[in-house]
Amino acid sequence: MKNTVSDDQLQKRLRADDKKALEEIYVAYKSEFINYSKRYKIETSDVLDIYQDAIIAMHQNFVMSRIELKTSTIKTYLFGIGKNKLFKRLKEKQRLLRVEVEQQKDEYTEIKLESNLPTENQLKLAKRLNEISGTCKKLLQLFYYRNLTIEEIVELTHYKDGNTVRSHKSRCLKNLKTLFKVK
Amino acid sequence: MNNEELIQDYIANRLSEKEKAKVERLLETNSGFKTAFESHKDIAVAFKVSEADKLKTYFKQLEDNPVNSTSLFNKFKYVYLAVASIIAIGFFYNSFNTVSGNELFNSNFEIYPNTYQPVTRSNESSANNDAFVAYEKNDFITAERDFETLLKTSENPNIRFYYALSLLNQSKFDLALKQFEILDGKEYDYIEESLWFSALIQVKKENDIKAKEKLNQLKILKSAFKSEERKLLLQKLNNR
Repeated sequence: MKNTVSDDQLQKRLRADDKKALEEIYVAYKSEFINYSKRYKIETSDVLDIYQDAIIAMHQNFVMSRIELKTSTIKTYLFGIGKNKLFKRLKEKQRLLRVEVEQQKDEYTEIKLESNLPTENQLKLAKRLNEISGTCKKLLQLFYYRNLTIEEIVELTHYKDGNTVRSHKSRCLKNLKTLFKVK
Repeated sequence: MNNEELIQDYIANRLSEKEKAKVERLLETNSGFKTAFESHKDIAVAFKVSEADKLKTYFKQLEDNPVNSTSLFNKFKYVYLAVASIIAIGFFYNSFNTVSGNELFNSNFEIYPNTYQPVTRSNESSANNDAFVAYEKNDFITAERDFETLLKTSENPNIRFYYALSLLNQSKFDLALKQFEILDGKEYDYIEESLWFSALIQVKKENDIKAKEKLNQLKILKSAFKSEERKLLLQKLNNR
């Protein structure tokens, strides 16, 4: 399926971690996803939870891996991720057999994104992130979460050059690591 | 390109096949590089977890406060309500504008924690440590003295920020503001925080124009720091 201009623009906004774009997508496809999931007989509250997880996983893949969808749309991508999460939930509830039968009629291809559970250390580190300064958190987020290059960070922020970004990042990282060790 | 940037390019899929192979070889043969790679990944996952939590909370809030108006009637109904509210709010503010700078300051100010140097009580006492120990104990008189001593021997903008806070936490507003002004234009870890506290001091001093300038500077930086509080404060200042 070829993408429309607005789909391409939305993708671009997602890559730039634009939360408003994410909200637009969330609202636009929520009812359709809930209707789609009815064939799997899952509680609506569970479906909403799955939909939110799918939206978040999709968004983070745009932000962190900076993906560009060439042959599918945001909707088919989102529903593919959502479908995988629906199956996962059904498997947990041991209702897989019926799912495999239903799957044949489906128009969405299941998409599995990497979903290793975070380690204990990574979870602890996530908590420490709230304890560093806002300026440091933002800089580290641009580098480690959004995977922006040093040059891109210079363009997007007030730092005067790449060396300033590098030295500031190194100081912030040291600070984070010290916090992690101490607590 | 340093190792950190090489690892980032590898994770972001920006490397050629040859460069990728080089990274994979390093991962197998160089333990230091492997440790750096794991550490990079840990931080990335930590951000992923933290951001996912924030988004999940955001969507839950969105579900708790749904906007379901799709019909034209409903849309216009909300326009009428909005217009009526604006008139009512305008009337309210013109008639009963009693929100003082002092009240705005008090409702927004909270003591900023020590995020610069974690206090390590088991370690040997150092001047740095003593200053932050005092700060964490809310003993701002001692903290002010100790930070001032530290600044005499070396200029560290992060220390100056905590010196300014020690003054601010004792309600020495003009002295704190002076320190924040010295920090203007410097590169350090608390640029956004300094702008926020400078804005609050200006609010307290009823210098709304200067306060708005500081808040707008934060907006230009696309800072996420106190984003909701900033928006509300700016609205209140604009309505004064």
